[in-house]
Amino acid sequence: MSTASVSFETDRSTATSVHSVVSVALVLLLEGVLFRERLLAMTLQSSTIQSFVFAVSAVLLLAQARRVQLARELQPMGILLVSMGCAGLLLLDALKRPWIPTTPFLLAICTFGSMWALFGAAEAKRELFPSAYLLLMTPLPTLLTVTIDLPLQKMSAALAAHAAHLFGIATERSGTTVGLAHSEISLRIIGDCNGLRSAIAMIAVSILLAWLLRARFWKALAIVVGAVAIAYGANIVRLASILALVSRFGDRFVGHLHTFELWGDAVLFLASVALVFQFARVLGCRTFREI
Amino acid sequence: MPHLPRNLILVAALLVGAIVGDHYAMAWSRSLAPLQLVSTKSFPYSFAEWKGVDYQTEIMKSAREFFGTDNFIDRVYSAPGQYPVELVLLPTASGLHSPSVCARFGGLQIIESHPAKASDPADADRIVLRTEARSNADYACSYYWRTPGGVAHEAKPYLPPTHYTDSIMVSLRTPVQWSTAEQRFQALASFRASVDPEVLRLIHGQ
Repeated sequence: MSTASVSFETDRSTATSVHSVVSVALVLLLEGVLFRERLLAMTLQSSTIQSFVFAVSAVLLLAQARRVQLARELQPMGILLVSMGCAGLLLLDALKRPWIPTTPFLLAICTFGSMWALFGAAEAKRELFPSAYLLLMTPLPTLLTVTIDLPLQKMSAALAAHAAHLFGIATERSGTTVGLAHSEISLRIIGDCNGLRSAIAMIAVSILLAWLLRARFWKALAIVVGAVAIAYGANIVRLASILALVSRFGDRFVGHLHTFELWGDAVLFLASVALVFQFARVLGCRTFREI
Repeated sequence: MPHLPRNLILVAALLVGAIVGDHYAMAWSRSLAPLQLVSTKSFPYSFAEWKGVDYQTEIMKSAREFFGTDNFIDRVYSAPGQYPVELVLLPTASGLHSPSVCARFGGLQIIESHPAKASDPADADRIVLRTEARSNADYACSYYWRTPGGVAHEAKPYLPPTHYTDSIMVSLRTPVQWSTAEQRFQALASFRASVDPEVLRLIHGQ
């Protein structure tokens, strides 16, 4: 009986989980060097979300590696996937077509292929989510952002002006600019302030949360949609707060706007994450996955 | 000491090989875009009757972060009896999208757009930008991409920056104020006649 059960398992090396973690760390380090220029090019424009996804993926990959041991058998499919990822990268770079948005895809292929090669097909399934999570680093197509940026800026300006009215602050909105009725100071909603970036960040956080809470597909979808709504709500709160503070303190506040945005954004982001977590609990997702 | 698993050796070898290969692939592809190496900082501050002053604001700092390079100029040129003209020069390989894309991202309204005739190298893409709701805050902006041997205009379908011709983007902007956009575009065309030879000199390293 024991012979039969052993025959269905992958032949494992005697290496301990420490070796698995060290091996994954080595692979991640080499991938980091290989994709360095592309990752730098990506994070130059939207550092926070890309760096967050990359860091989360690395941590999850290392954490999952603690639970598996290195496969002794040769894993040709894993090696093939790594080869395909590397070949794709070399080809695009050699043809002067880096297509930066392909970076997450190539990185995910390389990463999952490496995990497959290291641990075998069955155990590599543990590393599927952390590898696929890298796809969230993919930037939105510029054509899409160009199309939706301005309408979102106008919508954010309209909602922020409306929210300010609720606090008794008189504003005059024109397009993407919200001016205070009795002041020369006005707030122009540029692309960075239209809520799109915070929505993308919350999508990444909510997908991670849904996975950690073992949410089924529809509940995971609800969590992601809820997170987007919360992100937009938080952005309107941020803009309305700025209008309220400018109205109250005038130029004295404008001088501290950068500091306010730094701390205010951090507080709002944490509050948004807490809200998404509560929303997930309401949906019945209460048990965390064991990592 | 346990032996190294051969899968790890193979994966590591593949990745190291790719690192070395990609280093040479990138170096080779960089050599295909020589205008990246042109230093825009050496562009003259004065030519013809125009004298320039560098545009130094917080926006410039964020622009440097956005483009990921310091190799561009944003300079305001003025001349007696002329409206000031803001000149932006940037090698396209640095990753700039067209000014119309940046304008929309920056919350500016594009109230007029006149695409260049592809067959006419003297033509330029022209847009009128409105910074506020008021018409006296409009700007006329014309732009083109100067290559060593000619001029490129905005690609019809949007393409990633790496697909643009190896070139330096030349963007000219001037306030419309109490004039008409058409008159301002004519003034920009006149400025272009002075600035374009200087851009060519910059490209050819003279």
